[in-house]
Amino acid sequence: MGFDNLHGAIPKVEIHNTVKAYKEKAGRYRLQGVRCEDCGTLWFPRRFVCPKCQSQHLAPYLCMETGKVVTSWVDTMGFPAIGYEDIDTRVVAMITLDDGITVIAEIADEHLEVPKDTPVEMIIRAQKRDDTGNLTYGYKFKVCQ
Amino acid sequence: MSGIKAYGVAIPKRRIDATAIWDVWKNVSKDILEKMGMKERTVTGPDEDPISLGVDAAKRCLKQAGVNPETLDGLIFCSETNPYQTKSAASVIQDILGLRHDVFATDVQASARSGFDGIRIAKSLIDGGSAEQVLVIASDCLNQYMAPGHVYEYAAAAGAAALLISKEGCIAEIDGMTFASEDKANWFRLSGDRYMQLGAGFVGYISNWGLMDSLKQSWKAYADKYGVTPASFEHYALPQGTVVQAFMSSGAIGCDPYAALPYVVSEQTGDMGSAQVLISMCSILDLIDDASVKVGVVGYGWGDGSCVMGLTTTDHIGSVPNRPVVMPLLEQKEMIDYGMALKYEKKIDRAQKGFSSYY
Repeated sequence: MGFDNLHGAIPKVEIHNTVKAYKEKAGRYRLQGVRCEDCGTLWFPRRFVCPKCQSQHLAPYLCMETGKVVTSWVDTMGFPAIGYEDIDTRVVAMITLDDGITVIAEIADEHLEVPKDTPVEMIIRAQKRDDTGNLTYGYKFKVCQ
Repeated sequence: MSGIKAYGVAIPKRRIDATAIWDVWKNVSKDILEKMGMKERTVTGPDEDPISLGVDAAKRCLKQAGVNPETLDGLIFCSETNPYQTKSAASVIQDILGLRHDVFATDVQASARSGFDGIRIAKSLIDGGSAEQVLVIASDCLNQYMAPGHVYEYAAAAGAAALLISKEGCIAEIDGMTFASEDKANWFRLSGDRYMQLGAGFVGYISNWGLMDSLKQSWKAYADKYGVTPASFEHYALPQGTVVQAFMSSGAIGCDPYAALPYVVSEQTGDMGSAQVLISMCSILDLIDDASVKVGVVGYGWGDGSCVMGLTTTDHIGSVPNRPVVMPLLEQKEMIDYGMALKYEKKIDRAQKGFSSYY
């Protein structure tokens, strides 16, 4: 581990691609994944080939917008993640949706770790600005009241 | 007759106490805050803007209606603080909600009266037979565009309301709408300006008497056209940027102020722009279970004009699910200090290109 040479281990900055973001907007906006028409497995984000049975017959599938927290953590690495400087405490969680799909997403409006099995629901927030400066909206989750 | 089939509201969770702002600026006499009814206001989070609040309200509205978004025929996004100056924000919301692509989706920008203008357009589309169901979203984040140290900083806030206007299954029918418009020297923000500017004084002639002047005109037009008196309506949702505006509006119309005061939410939320009166209207609809109840909804937009809308509830209102909508959102809050509010509202100047503290 560590820096093996000068060119190998420079921390990579995320490159936000506008075209890719546009093509994947159904997933960001509506949690739209795919269902394999051969083996019935659900996938999110969408795939073009089913990783389980290698079928290419995949139909769009709208994931459930509610779920439960599996685990969560507060992003406290000493300085805010690039593009997220405005969010003072950024709570990220692994969430199992009600249809069994597991996603990793930010929990909005929280400052502490969210306990296991807390019910959450999907919301839309401005995520960040893309490489052209345009606003990117996408899913986050919030604790159900 | 077309009317409101369902409604939804979004109010940001974060609030700031007016005295926390006063402690920093001390730019008005402190008792003014109490006299004008400025107690708390909402603050948008770092990731909240009119689009995200509008989506939140729209989702609640569609959930209450039990309607598949694909069956909607139109979407009208009404805001005076639209994040986009050229692009349509309605198309973003249309995609987020999952509406069909062959729908009429447009933006309306006409001060705090935008929501009423959107409802008027939706009603015309439905009555004319061009559409069956149109979603109208009124959403504003005035707080992001009010300069630090400005006297209206105590009130400028954010919120959103969404109404599903439909021909069938309405919980409240729209009896009629009348408007009064005039170029008034009131609030404005020119293209490229960071903050809104006040035209002719916070408590001056235009802001207050202009409001009353305009309301008298639109109310007279409504009374003449539909043969009603101020006592014809049991409940009123009145302009309420500050609580005192509701009193002034009731005086201009001649209605009993106590028909409106229980539904004035601005003491807890501040001025939510185009969503303000519609959220007050939703708080009225939250409490009505009977048919044939008359509700008067009166809106006023800065430098624009006013609108009067009459509603009559139907048999369906008693069976509306997910009510009340407004009160739980008012109770759910997190108080923040002034420094955090400035940061969240992006009013602190800082380096644009810096990755983080370490680069």
